[in-house]
Amino acid sequence: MIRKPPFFISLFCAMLTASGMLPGVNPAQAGDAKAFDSLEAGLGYVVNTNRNDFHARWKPQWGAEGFIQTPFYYGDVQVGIRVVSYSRRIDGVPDFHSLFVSVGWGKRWDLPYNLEGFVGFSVGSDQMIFEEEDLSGSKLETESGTSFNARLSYPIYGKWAFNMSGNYTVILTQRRIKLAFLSAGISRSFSLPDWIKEFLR
Amino acid sequence: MRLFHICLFLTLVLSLPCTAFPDDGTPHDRDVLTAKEIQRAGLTRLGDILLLADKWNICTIDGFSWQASPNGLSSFRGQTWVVMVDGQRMNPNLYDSNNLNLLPIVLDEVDSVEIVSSPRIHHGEFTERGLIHIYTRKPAPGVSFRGSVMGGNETGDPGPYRYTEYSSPNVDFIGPDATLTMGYGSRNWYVQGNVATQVHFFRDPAMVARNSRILKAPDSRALFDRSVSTTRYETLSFLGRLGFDDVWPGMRRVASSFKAGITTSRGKHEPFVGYSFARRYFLFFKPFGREIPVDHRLAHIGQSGTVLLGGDAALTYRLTYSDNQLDKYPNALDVDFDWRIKLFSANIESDFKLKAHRSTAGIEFKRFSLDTSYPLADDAFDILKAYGSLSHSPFESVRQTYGVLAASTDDGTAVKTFASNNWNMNKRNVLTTHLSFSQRLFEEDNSIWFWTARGYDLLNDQGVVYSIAGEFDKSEQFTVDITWKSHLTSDIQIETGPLYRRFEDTYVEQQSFQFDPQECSFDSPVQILPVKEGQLFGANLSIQHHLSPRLFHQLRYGYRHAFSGDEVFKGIWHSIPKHKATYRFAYAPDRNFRIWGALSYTSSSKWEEYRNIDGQSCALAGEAVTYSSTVKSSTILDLQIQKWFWKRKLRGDFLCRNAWNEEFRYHPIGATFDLSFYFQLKILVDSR
Repeated sequence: MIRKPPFFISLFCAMLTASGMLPGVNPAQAGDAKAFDSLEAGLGYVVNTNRNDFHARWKPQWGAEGFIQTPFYYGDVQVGIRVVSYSRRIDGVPDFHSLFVSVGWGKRWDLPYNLEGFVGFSVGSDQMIFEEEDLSGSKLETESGTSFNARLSYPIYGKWAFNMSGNYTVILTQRRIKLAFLSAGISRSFSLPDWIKEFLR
Repeated sequence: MRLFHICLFLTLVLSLPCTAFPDDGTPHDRDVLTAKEIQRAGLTRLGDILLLADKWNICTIDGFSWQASPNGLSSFRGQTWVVMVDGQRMNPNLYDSNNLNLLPIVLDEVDSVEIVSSPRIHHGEFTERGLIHIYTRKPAPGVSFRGSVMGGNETGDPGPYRYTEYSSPNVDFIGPDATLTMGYGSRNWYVQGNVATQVHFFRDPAMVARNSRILKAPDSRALFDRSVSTTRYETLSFLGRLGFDDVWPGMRRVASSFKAGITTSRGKHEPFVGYSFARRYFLFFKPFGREIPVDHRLAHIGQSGTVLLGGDAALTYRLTYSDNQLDKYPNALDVDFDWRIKLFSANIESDFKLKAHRSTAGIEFKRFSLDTSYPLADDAFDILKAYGSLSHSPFESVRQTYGVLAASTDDGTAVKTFASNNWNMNKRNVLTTHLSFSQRLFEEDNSIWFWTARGYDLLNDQGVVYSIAGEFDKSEQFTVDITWKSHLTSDIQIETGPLYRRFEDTYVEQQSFQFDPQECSFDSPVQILPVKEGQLFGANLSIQHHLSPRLFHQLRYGYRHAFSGDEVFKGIWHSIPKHKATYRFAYAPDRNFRIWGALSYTSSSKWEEYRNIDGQSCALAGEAVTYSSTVKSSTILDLQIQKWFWKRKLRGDFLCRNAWNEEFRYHPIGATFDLSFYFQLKILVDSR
């Protein structure tokens, strides 16, 4: 019995197939020599936009996210961090802060009007830090999560760009927590020193 | 025996229509897992090697202790397959358990694994129940250093819902495990040592109630709140996490080993010393129908080597001593196994090659002794073996091997023979016919029933009702394996063929478990029943294809069906899934980056011993588990991403197991393995 839709796995396979990483791809093309040539780092303001059973108990507050992204052998890899606070709506549950650290892969696309798109997925760990201890005296809880994200970038000055992104995250707790986010922020591109490229490659 | 002679004759006849093509030297009667295959295949612990033994069926209750049915040579009952490391026999056997994870070596050390799935003579052992031989890697010239840490997370924690009516038990972290290996290699000698720590929790909802109650847990609620112990863990280092609370159903294990080798113009010599200590290991003991916490110690010391006699002659020697001990860990049932089994083995073997002939002859002395406070009629028994094999090529395209081994104890002698014929039909096709007939003495199983008959009275002490019907005698086994192997093209290889097994005069443990709702455990009297005769048919298929230098995929399929025998025999084999299929791929877009995946299908299995537990459930801290004697079929997807850094000195593995989160288990009362993520970091530094 399959207990939950294979969301991120289906996505993973579809993206690999669409991007040509599976059979038939030209190895020279796949082994892109530009892997880890540059790095893009970004920061943004994030809001949780959806509402479901989880939100009947906790109200999302402000949030912030950051990411670094670098070209991979095919597509890009991305490391992200997102901090969002949740305040209680009902008695008996504590406020908590969520720290979601993720690693993912995706593909950039050139779009009209000088826009650049990025679509990717990631897997991460959600650290939930509660304001109150539970029965055992703990304030911490950790669970894995998967997320799908899409971003639009527009160059604003030199290596700086303005980003808007959407993100759908599923925290894989026993009772799944499904969260949709919108964010806006800026990013900057950097060249990586040779020793870091050597290390990463 | 008559049947054997007929088949031997057929083997010889099959070898007649031969054509003149050389043997490609491939071992046709065993599978070899190379370091590359092991490295890319998403393994996290040594016992995971069994996940790659495609001709073997496997099952586990707790995800740490695996049971295997080696290519139809035995069922899940009687885990008497042999384990060897670098030519030395290891002795991790504990009653009906043969847990590779208790060996004092680490996965990083493994260079290759030989899986013998048909009866033959292998380093002085007759493999009528299968054999796994692990070869460890030698250190590179100069100083080398390898370290690894592994941790995993099974999904399904309560998260913030733990403060609500939807609260559910916490799911434990997997591991962390850490290993450190250091070595020095020179031209003619090397030394290498390692240390490993391991943590495993026996707390799946299917077993947490019985395992926590036997530890006298004061508060079952607290058992589900990992944070009590987690907080303590987090203040300790990986290597120092040796003190966690007394009511936690978890095991900590420390292991270390040392080996050395010297090669001279006259041969080579390799000593090996290993020690493993597992604190609060939950040993599933079937007569009790549950796990018992124990402190387990396994020590091994061995010396093996080869002396070249000149020409193509050599003498190989092996001396090993192992000490396998179960100490009492405080438990509510007050079970003390009081069991310390020692195995001493001395073996000498000659090997002569002359043109296309090769002959091997050897003798072995083996002494099993049991230290226990129970008064035994005799606390030791000896097995003396003499064996020989001859391999020759009567024609250029044919390679035939014959072997015979006689094992003798005070109570009798067992004869074990095999005959194998490799016919290179042409450059691309090889047909292998492998026959064996073997007898097995009751002593060779070294089972609890053997020692119970000699006075080991644990079962009576614990009030286990058991009966033994009939006399234990030599069992007999006849096997046929036919394999056709073909290189259809330079990139495609196919291997397939049927197998047949006939068992006579074996004995089985028969139980009919009842559910104990107080303990969430299972009780049953034990009957030891003789099985007059049973027959099994099976088949294996393997297709491998290198789509490109960067993309490899393979399909493996196995079929097993007990078609003859009484109800007891057939019932036992119903617990082995009839169908098992695995599709694997490995794709490396770059030398330093690899994606690996495995899609595994296992058909359902029916466990007759547990038929009375259908629908019974156990609830603790808000979560209920319902048991069933039928293990449902499953289709599991595993994915791994592997990336090297720092000029291949650092490697990160990210593994996703059961990516579809299918509800799947191996055993009626065992854990359910949900979607899990693992992360491994390995560092490999040498002075080259």
